Amino acid sequence: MDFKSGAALTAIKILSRGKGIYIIITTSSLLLYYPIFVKNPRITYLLVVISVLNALVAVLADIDTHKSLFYVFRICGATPSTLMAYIITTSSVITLISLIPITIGIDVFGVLTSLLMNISVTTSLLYMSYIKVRKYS
Amino acid sequence: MMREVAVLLRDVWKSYKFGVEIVNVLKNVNAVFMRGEVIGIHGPSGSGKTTLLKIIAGLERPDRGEVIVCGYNLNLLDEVGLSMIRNSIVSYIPQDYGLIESLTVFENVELPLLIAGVDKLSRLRKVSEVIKYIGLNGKEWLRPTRLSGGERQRVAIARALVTTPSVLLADEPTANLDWSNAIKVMELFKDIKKDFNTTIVIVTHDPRILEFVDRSLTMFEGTLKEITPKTY
Repeated sequence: MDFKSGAALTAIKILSRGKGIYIIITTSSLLLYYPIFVKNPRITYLLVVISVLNALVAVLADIDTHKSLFYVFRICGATPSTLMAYIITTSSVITLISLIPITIGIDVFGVLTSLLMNISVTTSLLYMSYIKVRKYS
Repeated sequence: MMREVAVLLRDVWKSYKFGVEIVNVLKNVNAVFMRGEVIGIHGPSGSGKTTLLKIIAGLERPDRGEVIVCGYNLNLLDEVGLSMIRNSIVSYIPQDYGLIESLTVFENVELPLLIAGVDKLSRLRKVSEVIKYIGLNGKEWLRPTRLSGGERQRVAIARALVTTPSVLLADEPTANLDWSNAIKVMELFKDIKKDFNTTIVIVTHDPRILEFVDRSLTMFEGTLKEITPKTY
């Protein structure tokens, strides 16, 4: 096991025990109703917006734990690339779950837009938290 | 037998900017800590003790001066180099213990080994050994929220000890403990020094802690001075 898989493993553990994963699974499951039963382009594109908000809320729900982990990772000697591996794993898991309703109801362009937006929002938020922790610890 | 130098601080200065005001937190700090020594740094809040520990740990860089830890000049290392030092040579125990509440005791202690890329079997063996050494066996699978203050401090010490560092830095390790638990933690530090020949630097605002150290220094308004036994 190398540096980066250790960070990814910790990210999965933190996610599976946090509030964020329950929020995102519940919201994504409820949203599945719309692409399956309501065939309205306006509603389906509204899903893109809800999906981004869903991913955002999922990260914010566990933000204190993520911040503590950035601090502990730093004092335990994690390199910046290890911290990035943690951020990318967390963002990817959240993005994938938030994209499930989108992939069912929207065209390829919509899915790609959502993918890009969700991963950008979650990665930026986590990266900003890391920079803040690094600056003040 | 010649004793090895663990930490060398030469003309170390550090300042912070608060609005328009620049405050010198460390002023011309010079010190030598030998291998296997327990050092106590005593001083009031805001005297620069924590900043000094963070500079030795490579968490902050000095504005001026040299910091040499186990032969490595920290000024010459980049962020990756400093990370390696923190992972294998220096361990820092923050005042608030820095434990992750959603991870178990075992997983918290395991973190530095995960970061170092140690294989699963070696991690299991090493973490079990350290947990047994600090006297927390049977509590490996509890979350830190289920532990007392003294036990949480022990978990933080175990995490710092799991990589067998040469230098252990403890920031106010007894500040959140009652006196009987504080004595136990200080006795544990003495055992660590004896068993692993570790240099331990403890900063504290409690002068009673200095009874347990080999050498005491005092920090006041950013300057570090040796304490002679008569002054405390």
